Amino acid sequence: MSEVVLTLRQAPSQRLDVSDLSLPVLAALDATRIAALPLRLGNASVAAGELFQVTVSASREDALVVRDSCDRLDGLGAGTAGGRVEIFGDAGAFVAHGMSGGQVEVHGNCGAYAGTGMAAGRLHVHGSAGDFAGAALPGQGTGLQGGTLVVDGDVGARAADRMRRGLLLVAGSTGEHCAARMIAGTVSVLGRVGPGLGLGMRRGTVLVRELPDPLPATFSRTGVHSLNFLNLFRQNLSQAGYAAHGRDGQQVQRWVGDRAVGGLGEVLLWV
Amino acid sequence: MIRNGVAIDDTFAEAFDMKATRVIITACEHKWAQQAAITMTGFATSVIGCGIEAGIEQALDGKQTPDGRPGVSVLVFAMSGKDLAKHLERRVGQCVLTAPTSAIFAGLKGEPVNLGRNLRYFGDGYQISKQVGGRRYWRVPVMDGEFLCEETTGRQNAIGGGNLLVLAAGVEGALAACESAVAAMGRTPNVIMPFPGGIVRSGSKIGSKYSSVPASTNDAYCPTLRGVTTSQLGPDVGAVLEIVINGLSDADLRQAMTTGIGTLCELGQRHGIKRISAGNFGGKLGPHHYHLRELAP
Repeated sequence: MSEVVLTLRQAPSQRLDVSDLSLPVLAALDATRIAALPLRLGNASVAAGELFQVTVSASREDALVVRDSCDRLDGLGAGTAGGRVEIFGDAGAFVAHGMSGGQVEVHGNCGAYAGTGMAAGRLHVHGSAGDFAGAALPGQGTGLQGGTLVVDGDVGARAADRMRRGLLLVAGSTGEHCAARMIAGTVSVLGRVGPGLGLGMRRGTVLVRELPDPLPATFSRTGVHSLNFLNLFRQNLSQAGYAAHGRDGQQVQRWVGDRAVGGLGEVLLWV
Repeated sequence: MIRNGVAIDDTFAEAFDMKATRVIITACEHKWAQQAAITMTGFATSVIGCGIEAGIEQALDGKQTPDGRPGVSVLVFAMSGKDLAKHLERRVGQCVLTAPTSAIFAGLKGEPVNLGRNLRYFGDGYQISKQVGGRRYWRVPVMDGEFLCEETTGRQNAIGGGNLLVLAAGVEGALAACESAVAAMGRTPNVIMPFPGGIVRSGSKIGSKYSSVPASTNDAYCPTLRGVTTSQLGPDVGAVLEIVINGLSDADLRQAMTTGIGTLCELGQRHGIKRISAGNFGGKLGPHHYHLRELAP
């Protein structure tokens, strides 16, 4: 097991795709070979060692630590299948793209498409995430496919667009069209929810503390209910360290939609 | 061997391999979880006629159940994994799904056995799948809200057919002794006693004079046939009752039988208990042999 530490020497002049610096690849290499890996910077190929100071040390688990990160680094934590990735500073787009296990922590904000293609594991963004958090890439059928995506701050527009499975926890607010075209899974939002919530939603659950104004007219109100599964949800979140997303009691107002597309998704408002 | 005036026969109880699962039933109040469990475990005394053997293991408070509501754990035993799956699904569908406010969860890990995987279709397309903590649950809309059930439970190898025969001067003494023993044994985890109140009065032998009857009355222990058949009863025995025990493991069964023997001996001959014996088929029925004198405390 090894811990790889990449310290960004200075912010790159253009966007830098670092998705090739995935933990499964780096864990098998020494510092010299990591420094020789080619990266795409604009239209040029640059050795990783020119952009990052690389150190490798023995560790109890495979880990990748990126220090002094900035929002021009795209694809950080992509392909993580196990172990731990920690990013100190902001991250660009596609954080944890295609993640299938382990943990990715972003100690800052991140750009668009955080957690896209994620199937398992946990991505925790301690700041805010850009548009399309947990959403599908253009041309792809599904967004978040499993695992847990936690955002301590806000998310941009179209979070959970075409989300298929898993859990998206947003402690802040969402932009417009959150959970649009959602297929399944669970979204919990503690802050305000932007307009267009759940448009085209087929299945899945969105838990909110306040309704967007307006909730799409194509959602049908089914009344106030006591739903036992919320007990499981609360206990599980509490054990995982996200107790704020649970709540004592299990009474919610329930809307079902988007009926415009025959959807049976649900928006649950805690009461 | 004599304990407190009670003779313990030099014999053994013969038990056999089974498959078992545990489910946890919860409800808004303990009485409704209990009611669902009683209904589900009704007519589940013997695999011979009921397909499975089932019983309530213990009552659970909210801290012991997945959804934080009061509940009951139920153990279900069958001769094969296929039988277990078939009867479990049928009983959950008819007895738990129908009980007000109920929910049902897995109580064992192991080879998966369907719990809500097919019952979800009762929802007629309105059922909702939820994965929580890596486990899949189904929310089935019903007239009092939602029936929540876990998709599968787990099964494991288990042992059935452990038994104690209680020989007493009269039926009153035998029954009182068995009630006390069953109450004490019921506090042992991982075991059930599937017959009514844990007690059997119609012990059987294999075969019959009638070719179509696979099992018939155990005439050697019937007091009214003393002198007519090859009786195992002395002149001082007026009634015999049996306690049948199923357990998840050999150790569980041993613990329960030791508790049972101990309780019966405590009551002693002054309560009319004469002998403790056990049923076996000469070692031909099952590989698990529980020698009473080894188990006696």
